[in-house]
Amino acid sequence: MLAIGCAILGASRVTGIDVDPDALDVAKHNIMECGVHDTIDLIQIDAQSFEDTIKARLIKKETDNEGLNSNFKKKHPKNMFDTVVLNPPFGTRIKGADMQFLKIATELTNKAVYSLHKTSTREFVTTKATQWGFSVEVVAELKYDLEKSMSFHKKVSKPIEVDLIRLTRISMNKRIKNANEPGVSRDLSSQKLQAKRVVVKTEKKRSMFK
Amino acid sequence: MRILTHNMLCCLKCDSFPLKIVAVNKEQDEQDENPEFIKHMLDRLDYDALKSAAKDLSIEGLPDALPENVAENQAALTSLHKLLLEVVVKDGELQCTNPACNRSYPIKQGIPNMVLREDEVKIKAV
Repeated sequence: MLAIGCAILGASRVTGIDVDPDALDVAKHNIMECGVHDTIDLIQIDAQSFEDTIKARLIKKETDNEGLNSNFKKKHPKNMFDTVVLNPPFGTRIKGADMQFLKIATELTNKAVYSLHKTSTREFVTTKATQWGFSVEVVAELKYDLEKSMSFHKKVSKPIEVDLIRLTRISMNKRIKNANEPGVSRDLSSQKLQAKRVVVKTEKKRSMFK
Repeated sequence: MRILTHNMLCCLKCDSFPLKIVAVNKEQDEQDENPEFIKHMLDRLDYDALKSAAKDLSIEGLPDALPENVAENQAALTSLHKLLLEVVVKDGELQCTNPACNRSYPIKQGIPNMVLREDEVKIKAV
């Protein structure tokens, strides 16, 4: 759904990812219905693996460039995506899953991330995003009326306040520089490890512009 | 799966890149050109991976290296557009070319399935 929105709003190309084949079937149907199949490619993959593949490719590109004559050496290769849009899981069993998704999104984008978070966590989200080198702006405040969707939910229906936030990368250099230092990229993979265990099974809809 | 998407997928088990495309069913999905987008993507593309994709799909005529002035070269931009955005692999698979790995990822109804089985999820050495 997010991917279709991006396409309708004028993104040149959109890549939609989800780990759940049923969700992708529905997405495919909707994409045809909305006539935006020209613009969207879908991949069945979890967010963590997607970050892994995008990073592995970037590292390979950097290594290749090192071998070339300096005249042909490109500046650091750019990430594929300019904007990442996600609707991360919150209010689920796994605490902090929304922040893990948000972190992955920030790793994938050159410019901006749009995401949805509980208003009650706004301060925490802002602090984290600032540490990652992004500025934070609340674009809209929404009210979700969540049906009792999981067996462990205690109340039948509980309206929750949700922020639509926009993160904007303040400094591109920071990330690129980090990616270039082997020491730092090792740190990144240790973070990945922690994230991987939980994220793989809790993938939610997610899409991105290019 | 379009070739632009192929250009960003590594093997999730061994990071091998690019993946070999075995297309059982592919089509050409004509669409309006957007040269600005292609120019925008030039420094993000991996040209070797693009050449490898073209070879897998028996598409000929790609130069060994991307011409220097490609942003001003209308014919080159059109070729890139056709290859990156109009070729759609509907069914087939992506194969890892690392002999020690050999994992293949099926493509069904245009969607590559990159999900690893639980026992395949790698724990990366730190």
